[in-house]
Amino acid sequence: MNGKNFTVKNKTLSLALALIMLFGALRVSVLAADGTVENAVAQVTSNGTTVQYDNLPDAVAAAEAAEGSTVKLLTDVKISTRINVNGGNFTIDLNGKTWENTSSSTLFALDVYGGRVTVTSTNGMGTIYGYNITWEDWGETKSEHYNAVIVADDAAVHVTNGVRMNMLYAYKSADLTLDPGVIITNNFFTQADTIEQFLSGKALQRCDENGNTVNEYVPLNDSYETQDTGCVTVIDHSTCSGHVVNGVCEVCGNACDHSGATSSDVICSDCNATLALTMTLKSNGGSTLVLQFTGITPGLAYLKGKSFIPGTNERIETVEFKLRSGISLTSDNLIFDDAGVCFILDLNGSALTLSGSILMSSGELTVCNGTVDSEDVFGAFRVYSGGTLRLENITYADTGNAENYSVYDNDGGNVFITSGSYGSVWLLTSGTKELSGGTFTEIHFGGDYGQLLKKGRVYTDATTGAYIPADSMNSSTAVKIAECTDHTMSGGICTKCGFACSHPSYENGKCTICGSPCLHEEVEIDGDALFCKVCHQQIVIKATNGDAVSYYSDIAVAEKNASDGSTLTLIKNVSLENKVFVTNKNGITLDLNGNSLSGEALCVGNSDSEGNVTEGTLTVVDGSGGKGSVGLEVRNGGTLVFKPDNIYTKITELDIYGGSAKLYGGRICGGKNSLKLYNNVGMVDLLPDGYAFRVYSEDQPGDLLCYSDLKNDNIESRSADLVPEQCGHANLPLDFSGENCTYCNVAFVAILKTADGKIRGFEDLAKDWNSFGENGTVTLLQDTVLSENMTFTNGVDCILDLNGYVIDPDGPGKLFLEGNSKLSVKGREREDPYVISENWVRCDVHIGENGAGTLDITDDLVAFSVVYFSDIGNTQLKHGTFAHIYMDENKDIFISDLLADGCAFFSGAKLINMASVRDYSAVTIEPHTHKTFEDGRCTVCGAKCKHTSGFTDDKCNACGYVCTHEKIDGDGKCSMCSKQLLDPALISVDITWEEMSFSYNEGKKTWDPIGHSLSAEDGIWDQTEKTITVTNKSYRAVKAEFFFNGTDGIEGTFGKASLTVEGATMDGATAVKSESDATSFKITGGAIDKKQYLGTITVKVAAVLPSKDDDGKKEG
Amino acid sequence: MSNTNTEEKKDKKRKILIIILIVGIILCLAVAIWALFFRDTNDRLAPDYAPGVSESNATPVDGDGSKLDVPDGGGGISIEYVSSVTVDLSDNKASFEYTHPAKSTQNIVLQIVVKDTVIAQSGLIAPGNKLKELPLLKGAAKKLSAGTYTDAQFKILSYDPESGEKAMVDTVAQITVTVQE
Repeated sequence: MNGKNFTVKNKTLSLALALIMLFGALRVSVLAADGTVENAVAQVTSNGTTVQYDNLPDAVAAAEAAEGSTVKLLTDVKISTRINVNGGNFTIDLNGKTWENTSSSTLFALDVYGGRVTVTSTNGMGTIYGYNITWEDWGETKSEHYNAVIVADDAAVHVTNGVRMNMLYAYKSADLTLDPGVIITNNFFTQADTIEQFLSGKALQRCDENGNTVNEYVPLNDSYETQDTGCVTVIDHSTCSGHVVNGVCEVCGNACDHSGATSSDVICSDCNATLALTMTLKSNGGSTLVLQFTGITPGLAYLKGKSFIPGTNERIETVEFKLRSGISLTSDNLIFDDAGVCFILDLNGSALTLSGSILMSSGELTVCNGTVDSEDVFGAFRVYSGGTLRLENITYADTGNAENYSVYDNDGGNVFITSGSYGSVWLLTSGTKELSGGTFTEIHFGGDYGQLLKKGRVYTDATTGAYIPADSMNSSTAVKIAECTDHTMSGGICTKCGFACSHPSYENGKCTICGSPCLHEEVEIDGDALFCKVCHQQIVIKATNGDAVSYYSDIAVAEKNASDGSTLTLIKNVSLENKVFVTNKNGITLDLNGNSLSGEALCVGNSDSEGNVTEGTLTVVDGSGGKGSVGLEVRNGGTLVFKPDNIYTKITELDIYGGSAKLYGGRICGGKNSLKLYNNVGMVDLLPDGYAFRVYSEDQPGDLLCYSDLKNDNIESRSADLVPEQCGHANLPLDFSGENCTYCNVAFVAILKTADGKIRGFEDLAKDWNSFGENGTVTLLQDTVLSENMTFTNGVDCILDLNGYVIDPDGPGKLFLEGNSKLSVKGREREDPYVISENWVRCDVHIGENGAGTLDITDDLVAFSVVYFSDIGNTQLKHGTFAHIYMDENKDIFISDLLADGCAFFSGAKLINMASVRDYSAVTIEPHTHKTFEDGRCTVCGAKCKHTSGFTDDKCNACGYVCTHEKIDGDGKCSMCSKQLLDPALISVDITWEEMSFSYNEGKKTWDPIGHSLSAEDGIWDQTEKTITVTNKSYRAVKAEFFFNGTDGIEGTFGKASLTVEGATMDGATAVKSESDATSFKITGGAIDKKQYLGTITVKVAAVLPSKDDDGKKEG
Repeated sequence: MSNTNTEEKKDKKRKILIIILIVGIILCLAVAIWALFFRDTNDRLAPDYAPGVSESNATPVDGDGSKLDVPDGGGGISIEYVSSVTVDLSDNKASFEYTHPAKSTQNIVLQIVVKDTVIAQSGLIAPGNKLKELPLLKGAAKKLSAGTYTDAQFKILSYDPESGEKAMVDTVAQITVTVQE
């Protein structure tokens, strides 16, 4: 670079650099190379580096930003800025200099709002002043001073010896520490109640501005929120001892803390006061502080506002007052209401006399070992809700006031009394109360006195010591609470004191201590048996009720403990030594579970000689499937339901004296002693409705016993078992003529006599028909109602004989015909013809859509309410009266189509032409001769011509209808006109077959060189199957059978040895659709060694002749 | 004298034996000749190959020209018949209705069998022919008596029209034979 190359661009760069250097030179005047600056007022040293500042705010700000730094004044500083500190941890070293805010607007010198600041002075006394102003006012010098230092709640300031301030202000929770020697020239005031909290172990002594003290002190426990302390210096004051004058410390102003006394001193050597008690503060952390007080009240006053043991950070947990032995103490009300503290007032054998009461509204107070007297009308101890009072070994000195209670439960506090004498107490039911000892002349309590006692305690007569039941207690009973020494156990619990036995050992299933039976709560399997883990008794009964399960070794105990709805399951065979009574139960179940209950009987219900009846209900089942047996007895009030699932569960003995016994299953064993009935109880009484007894001999079922034969006379001679079974009312005697079931005596509404002559009774006409209906005649035995649709389907052909009775049309069901079924309804004149003149079947008859049914009415005594036809099937009516009749409006059928030949519908005497009518009311079918026809219908009544007059040349002789031969009968004739359309003997069949060639593979041949013989394995025919198809073009069905006659031992088999191929679909005499079926053939045996003829398959064809029930009609 | 008598007796015995032998030989020959030439066995065996003579009583029937749908190498016959057959002993023939439709793929021989006895058998019938009568086999009439036989069949033997080999599948159709004198 030379002058020639000095360009404009370079000039600009030089100017910029000059400006930067000029600005840098200004900074350099502050930040010299060694950290010194001209006119420096302070310097900050941090981590060995010192930087000087020409203004204090910057220096303090730099120190605030540098943890552990020290800002040191280098000169006296007068500034108009209030310096705020919000954080950091640093030291301000006044260095013997003065820092003063001279601004009347900013006023304060240093405000510490956060962080931790130590103010010290290392080189003589350092001063920090807020704004000070002094003026003359009419010859009087006046001044105002403003804070040198303010310490806020979140700040920590430590001021050391050598520092002087004009004013110091501390927030209520400020962390302020003042070392002895600190001088405050004008005022130290605080937001807190006193300045005592900032001067722990120290005090303030008056002095001049230079710290020269005079013998005056400032009381620390005064309020200095506004009051001036004046010029003071901080001094050490670790103890008031030696400074107490008239009970008050002349240094700190606090009352004497008797710190110079011990717990054995009666007189405080400092204040001469009489010491009444020792107060010990304890924390959970182990800190303890022992203090002496002249009374309880000063002790409580000392605690006021204290949560921590002074000098520690440990919370006060327990405060124990212990009176000096032999000292009586008087007091007004004593209030213990610190919820977080447990107070103990140990009277230590002394007397406490109260003009008021000890009040408890929160926390816990224990008072013990002394005498308490109170003049308060409510008594010595008044407990409020939330307070807990414990009294031990207290004697309440009754002053004779009748309304004076030793303990007064104001609104449900907690009271525990363990010993002592208390006169009258007033206790409420709310809150917790527990009396475990003590003597009382009166216990006023509105609840169950038993609730007051601790478990194991009882009330005893205060004089005689006799036991007093809790339910005999009243407010005037003088009692002593004593330990129960004579337990009366029930279920392991003493009924006197509530003591619960722990049952340490058992013998024979009972506790050796209290005699309570073992509850068998834990069981274990040992071999095939179940044992109690606790008492080792064998378990015989498992009781369940919902999810609750319990075990018993004694069935009597199990019965006694069983709640309603329980099931007792027998786990092993049991022989009862004594009768067990099932009583007071609305229903328990005994599950025999395949086991036997023998010996004495299990009795259901009971009655004593005076006729007092005890009810009991027992249901017996057998979950094992029929291996159980039991002996039972039913007495007055007893209800036995014997309901095992099968017939093999045995009643070995059944004695019935009264009550009710119903047998739904199982069996009564044979033998004259197995069933004994007394007091007019009959065998029929054992049967539930619809049940009958069947005889079983040697386990083989015999006949049902006729109901009329169930007489007690026959019991003695009975040797066979009796099995109750639900009667199906089937197979009634052929000469049955009654109205009740022969076997179970149930009243029938109808009977069904089937086509093969069997008779079954119906309890519910519709339901029983739908379950058991078959071809035959149903005859009504009484007026009835259809509980559901009575459906005739699946081709059933049945007669419904109304027999002069009525099927109520208002029932929910109706007759329902479908599926090619046929119902013929017949009637009979009623015995009360003036009431109902016909046998009304007031039911809908729906001809179901699942294949048409056919309705027939055989006489004029049958009347229908509403009849609906969705199809008429083969219905051809000659009789009947209809309140309403209607046809499916969507089908081409009319009411006249229902008519048989020679009939018509009449409404009264008027003939109604129903040719195009689908809905009509109140009509009767009566004879009518059709004379003229038009379009195949009678021109008068509309009935279709039945073509009964014969055909000539395919034309009806009556109506001229030309037959179209739509149906052909089994003889090949037209179903309508009988014209021979087909030769029924004509058979037309096609038979085709696949190539009938089969392969045979010879077995492997092996030469035996020793025996010189050739052995061969068996050969194999290929398993190809050849198909033979038969196609039938005949009118009739054809049966094809297949045979194979093999040559040289050849064998063959067919997939199907015979086929029946249905007849072809005919159009007139022409087959329009043939039917086919096929079989397969394969060679299965024999062997060949060359190509040869294997045999002959013969297909044998024969027509299948129509059956007797098949008219062979087929539609074209 | 005694020797002469003894010789004479021996001669007589020889003559008697010779006569007996001659008579026996004649009887044997007679039986053999009857058995070979005159005995009617009644068992008409199905020929393994189609007979060379067509049935003279068969008359053609019309067909629609179609054939049965038969698998390759297989065969098929269509049979149409009336299951009642009448035998008139007076003119020694059976009358019936049997059609061997043209759609069949096999030639057939029709037998009428009564109680396992063939009473009539046709010659070869090609597809498309109808047969209404057959003469009774010789001697058949003597085994029948007036009345109705339900144990009777048409036995239809099928033959390959080209090779003449008998098919493996025969058909038997149940019929009723009414015999009239």
